[in-house]
Amino acid sequence: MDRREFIKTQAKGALMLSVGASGLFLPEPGLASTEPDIAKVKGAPAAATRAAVELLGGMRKFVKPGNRVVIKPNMSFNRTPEQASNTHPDVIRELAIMCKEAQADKVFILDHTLASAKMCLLRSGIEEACRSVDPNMVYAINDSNLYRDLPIPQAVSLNETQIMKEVLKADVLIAAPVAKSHSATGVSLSMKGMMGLIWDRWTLHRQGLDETIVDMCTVLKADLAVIDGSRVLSTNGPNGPGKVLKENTIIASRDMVAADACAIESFTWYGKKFKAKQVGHIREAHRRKFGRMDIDNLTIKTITV
Amino acid sequence: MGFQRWVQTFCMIIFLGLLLIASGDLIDSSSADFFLRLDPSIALITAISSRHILIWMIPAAVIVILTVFLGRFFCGHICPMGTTLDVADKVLAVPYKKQKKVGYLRGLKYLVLIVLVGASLFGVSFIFMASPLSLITRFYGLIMLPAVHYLTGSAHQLLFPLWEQLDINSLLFLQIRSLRYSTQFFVLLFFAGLFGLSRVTPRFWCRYICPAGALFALFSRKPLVHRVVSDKCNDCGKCVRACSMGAIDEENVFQTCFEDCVVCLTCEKICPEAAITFSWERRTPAQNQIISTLPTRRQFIVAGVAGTSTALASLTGLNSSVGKAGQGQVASPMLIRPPATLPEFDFLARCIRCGECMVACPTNTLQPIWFDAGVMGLFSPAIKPRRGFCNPDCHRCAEVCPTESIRVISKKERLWAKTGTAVIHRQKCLAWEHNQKCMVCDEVCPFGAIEFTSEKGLSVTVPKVKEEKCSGCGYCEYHCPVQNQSAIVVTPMNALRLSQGSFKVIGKQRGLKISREEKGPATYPGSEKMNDPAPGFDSSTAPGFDSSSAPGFDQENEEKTSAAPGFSE
Repeated sequence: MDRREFIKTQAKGALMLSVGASGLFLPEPGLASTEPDIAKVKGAPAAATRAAVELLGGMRKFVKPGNRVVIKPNMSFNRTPEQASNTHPDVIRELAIMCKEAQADKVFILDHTLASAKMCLLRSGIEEACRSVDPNMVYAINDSNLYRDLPIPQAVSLNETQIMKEVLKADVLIAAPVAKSHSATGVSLSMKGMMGLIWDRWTLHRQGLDETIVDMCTVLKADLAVIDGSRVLSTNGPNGPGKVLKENTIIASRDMVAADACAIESFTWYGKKFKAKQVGHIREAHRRKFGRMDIDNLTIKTITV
Repeated sequence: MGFQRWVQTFCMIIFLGLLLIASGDLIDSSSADFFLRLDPSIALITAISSRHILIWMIPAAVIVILTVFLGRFFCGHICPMGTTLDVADKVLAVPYKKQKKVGYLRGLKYLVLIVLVGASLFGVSFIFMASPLSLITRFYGLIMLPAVHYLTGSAHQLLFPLWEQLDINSLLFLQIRSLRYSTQFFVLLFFAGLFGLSRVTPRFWCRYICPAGALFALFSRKPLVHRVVSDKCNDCGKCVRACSMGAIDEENVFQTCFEDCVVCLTCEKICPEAAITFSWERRTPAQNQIISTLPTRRQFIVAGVAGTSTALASLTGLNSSVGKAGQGQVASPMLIRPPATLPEFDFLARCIRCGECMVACPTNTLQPIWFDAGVMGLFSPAIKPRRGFCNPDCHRCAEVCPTESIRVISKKERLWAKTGTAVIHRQKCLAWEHNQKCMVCDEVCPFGAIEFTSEKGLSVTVPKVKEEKCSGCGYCEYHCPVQNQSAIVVTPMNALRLSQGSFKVIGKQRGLKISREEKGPATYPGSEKMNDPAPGFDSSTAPGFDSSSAPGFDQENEEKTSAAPGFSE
């Protein structure tokens, strides 16, 4: 999104809000001629995922024939889908199918796991779910040799990181995190989740997570963020087990920050409601104009399937 | 290549193959320790030192019984140490004439065995210093295997551009473990010395030192199948020079020292007159004379006393773990044993330091130690969490252990086999000391044993350990972002070391609450305190969330349409 486009959407949002505030009529989804900024779909994980991406114009908007695609799920924990520490396998599978439908050449589902790779692939259910799509697409990459150094030109603090070689080759990057709480950063969503594509995560903690997460995302900017709120790990995240909310919601956006902001404000965390700006790295991303957290000024299309 | 070489090659391939199986996680590795179970010196010494008859050492007994009929065939055909030394001899050995005449050392191997037996009477096992199978497994497992991994890894890296061209997933995502081990230089030096002895005589180890060889020799003094020399012999002496064991009498080539003959059949093969055969023919009276290399009674007694006194010195050393006075309070504060390891003294009596557990450990966390547990604990395995965590779903170390010094237990029991307890060094902690958002320890803990809470004067969440939930797995220590010395470390406190009984039952009795499924608190612990924020302390209502907005931002209760700084409305 360039600056011009940015201002246009901003103005559109403001207009719609003023129309809404005037009380004459609620802004209809059809009012916007183009796709919404954020798609929010209630329904079963796979169907809602498909519907959310369709609302944004369909996968063909993101994936061109012959593209290499990397999908970044949460599958870093030795937990079952019900425990909501990992992305729902159906969400990942549906995304992979949609990428294949859009004639992607290769689709990979990659994560740098915290727990044993074998157990994560097994218990998250993601490997099994995707086997029918392509038996060679899900990998836990825990070998430093498969990462390559990359300078971060727009960094404030993190000047360099190491990124999975396959991610550097990819044409399209899709963030597909589960919505979950995080004991240090409040939430772990599409931005925080990108820490699963780099090798050295320790440095980020030492240099300050809020700034360095944004630094990292400037080189790992997802073309599409699909947040799995089918189940939300509302407490004791990111590992859990904690309180799991059955929200049956999928949130998708081209803007990682907007998707994350929408997820923060859509669900409750530790039994309370929060604004996006209460999360440090989201606020930092907005401040640096990496994306927008002011979702009240954005178009959100909500449907149920 | 003769029959013997074929058998040697075949056995070596099996041996190395089993090591590879132990180091990978594709194939069931529970029989990876097979070769170690063939070594009678391990069986004998471990049985005495641990006061247990080890039924899984039956293969060693079978070999010994076969030795009565076939002589030291194990040494010449099966033993990977023998094969390795044969290869070294091929490269390094000197011609017969230049070989040192050290025949007087022949009795030494018996004395080595007696020293070991003497020590084991007191429950001290030094078999790890001399068992050929233990030594050779350590050599291939801890020295050669990591080298092979390193070289394959480097080659893989070098060829990576090619894999990218070919675009084959299995090559692009091939992950080669980088194995690292401590103490490897000692093992390396030991073997350098052993190979160097090829310059003295071939198979120096097998002739003069090997305690397993000594045991076999005791049973092979009159083997059924034996070397027979016919009168076609013209006394050319070729067989004497070719015998790697020096088992043929230089003065009388008809004579064979069967204690040292490893039935390699080399003499039969090279004899120009075809005068030598191996058969069960009756020996001629001249051949029936046993060449005995047994030491004198006095030497035996001295060796036995040497063994027992070494054991006594070990038992009375500061690090000794024997008896009620030795409950390990002086042991290294960071010595963490693998899960379900026997109580320390029993463990050291059984563990033969072969390194199988370290080879099998998928996270490379199991490392041989130096003197952390005294001389008795040399090369024994310890968890080094900074190198890797100990996966609660994994118990490969127990699977491959030939002497069951790590108990084989069920999957459920395994979770309760607590190895220690994590302790936070607050002055090193990013949250506690540096007021940084972190909580990695909580993030990775499989047991929810890290409690996060707020503290006066700090704006970030800080970790605390819930000791009764901690299993000592070391996820936290491994992943802690603080460099080198972690801010959270696993100490051996409250490790469960049970020789019998259920870990779960006893763990529960001791108040442990180890569970991966128990949910954490539904509200943020310490949130009550935070309704009353201290000066300079942002009140927060959930971990990681600020309730007050950042400079330049409007309060959340203001108009929703207010724009962010720098944005026009």
